[in-house]
Amino acid sequence: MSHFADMTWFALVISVALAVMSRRTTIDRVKYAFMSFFAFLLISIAIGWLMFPFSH
Amino acid sequence: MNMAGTPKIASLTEPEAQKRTPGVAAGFAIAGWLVPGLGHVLAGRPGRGVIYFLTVAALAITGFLQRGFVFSHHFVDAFSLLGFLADAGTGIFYFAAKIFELGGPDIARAAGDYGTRFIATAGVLNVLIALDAYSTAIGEKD
Repeated sequence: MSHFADMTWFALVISVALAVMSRRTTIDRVKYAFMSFFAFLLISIAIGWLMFPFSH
Repeated sequence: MNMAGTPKIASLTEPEAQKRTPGVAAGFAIAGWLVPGLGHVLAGRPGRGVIYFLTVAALAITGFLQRGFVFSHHFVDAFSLLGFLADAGTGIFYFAAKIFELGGPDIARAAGDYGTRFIATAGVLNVLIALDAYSTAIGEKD
């Protein structure tokens, strides 16, 4: 798997687990999972870009 | 468990989970550590138990297939002890690691290094799930 696919897979699985654990209703779980998943991706990409200058 | 303290199979599918004593709840948590999600199934939350099993399995098997490093119980320093504790958190998947990792670990590649993190995350998540099973069984959570 590519690094991005690894990160996406990790974010998806963890988001689902945390959503089921921390919310009681189905709709709340779906909302939480979506928010958590996209937060994982956005923050990871943002940190990646912040580190970009140090890679050269 | 029913009033007499014997297993009550019918309770596995009941929508309302009954409260358990702390001792029984601890037993469910240990069962949930050994088999991810089993604690919730025993506590009367089979749907959650299945999802938890699938999430821990997905993380652990991804880590094994990427040839992540599985820490042995023969730890030599604090880091390897932490690694062992995290990996052992996966329960049966820790003992099944050799089945999935026929080629052994390969952390020279980035994928192998990621695999190590996947396995550790699966273990830590499963410990969290086991604690959640305890809270569910004693009635702190619905």
